[in-house]
Amino acid sequence: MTTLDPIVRPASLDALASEPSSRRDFLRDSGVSVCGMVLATGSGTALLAGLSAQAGVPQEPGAAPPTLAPQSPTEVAGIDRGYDPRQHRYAYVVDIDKCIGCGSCVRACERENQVPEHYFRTWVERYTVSRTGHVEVDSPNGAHDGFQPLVSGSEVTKSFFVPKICNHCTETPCVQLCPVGASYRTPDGLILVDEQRCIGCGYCVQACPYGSRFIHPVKHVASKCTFCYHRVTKGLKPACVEACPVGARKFGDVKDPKDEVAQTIATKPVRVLKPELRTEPNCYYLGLGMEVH
Amino acid sequence: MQHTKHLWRAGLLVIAFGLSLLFGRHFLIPASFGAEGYYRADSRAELMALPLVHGGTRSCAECHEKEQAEHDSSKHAGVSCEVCHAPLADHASGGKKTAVMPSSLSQRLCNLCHLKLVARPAAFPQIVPQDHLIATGALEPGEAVPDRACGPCHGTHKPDQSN
Repeated sequence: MTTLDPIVRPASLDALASEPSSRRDFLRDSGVSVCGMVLATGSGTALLAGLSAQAGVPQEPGAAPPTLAPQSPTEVAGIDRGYDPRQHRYAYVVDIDKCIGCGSCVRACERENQVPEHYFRTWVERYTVSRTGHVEVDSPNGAHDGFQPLVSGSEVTKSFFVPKICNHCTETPCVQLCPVGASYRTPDGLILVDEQRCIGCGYCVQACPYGSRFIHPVKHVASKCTFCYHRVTKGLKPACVEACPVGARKFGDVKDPKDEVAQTIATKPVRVLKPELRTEPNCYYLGLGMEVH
Repeated sequence: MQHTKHLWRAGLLVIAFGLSLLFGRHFLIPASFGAEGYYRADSRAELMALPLVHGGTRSCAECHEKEQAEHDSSKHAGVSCEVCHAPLADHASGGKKTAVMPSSLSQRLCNLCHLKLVARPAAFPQIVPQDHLIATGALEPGEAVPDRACGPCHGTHKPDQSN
């Protein structure tokens, strides 16, 4: 714990406290200084014109998007400027019946996104249901090192693996409550975190009903699955999908009617996690049992 | 109107205060904030520009055609090279080799997928290593399972082929 600096009281406040009758003088002085400050920066008209350009006033439909400052990262990083997020709408499908719980996805995600040890942007849970109806869930180190046989006290009637990621919900609580606009939903349907803006308050971590977020232990900002935004915007698959040896994880674009994921969602009996919360997840599950939360 | 001067002063103060708020906004709100929605649009561009770590199976074939062909004809055809080895970024950059690609022959690597677990789909090939080695005559009962137990019988890039 660091000690907080003692609060420094402005001199003008002290003056106000000692001379209650000098309010008129105080107001006059502060008024003069504020006016002086504004005038010193140039004419009011120029200032207002600059502000409306900066503050992101709603654009007319069809109007060209505002050009970014030349020093912005979009200019220097060599990314595909032709990518239009409005042309895509991403979704994810997990096939429970295929998952073998090898943890390749967890290890690939860790490497692709530099996820700190013992923190997870994706993880795999093992559900074990016994004859008595007792449900046991385990995920040793997020399945990073796979699973070992489970020693169960009673007869196991069914057992299966459930891979989990951020559900990139359409009506997500994490974006609604972010006090600084650091968590946001992109036009292509992803929930991302602006690490520069995040103040690490952790509200979103508490708000996520799926436990998909954590506070990065080094950066002290919220961190979560991005569907590998740097990969999918280049036409590649997320690292976890690429790594899955059995095709239990699928990623696609529902705006493309020929897309495998779009067709699965449209034609197969898919379910989402915690539908009663009405967060409208964009991660769908095939073969999801009622034991899974 | 005796007190008009008071009203003028108060009005000017209100205007000055409003202008100072607008002036403060100019510095507090990042340039691209609001361009796409209630967030900094540059943040999306920054996330798009993060470096790729995994290259995908096809990127390996650019240099390793022989291994790729062998792998493609095996039951492991759907398993990306980087699952058993390591991400491309550990090994090559810009088409040039930068470091030796790690490879493991340990049975622990095979166990990640093929160790018998109740939760695995029943049709998926899975074994209890001890039982499997005894049943195939590779191990005497009571002997410990050697670390490189799988390699002697199963090929590395084509494991369904018996050596």
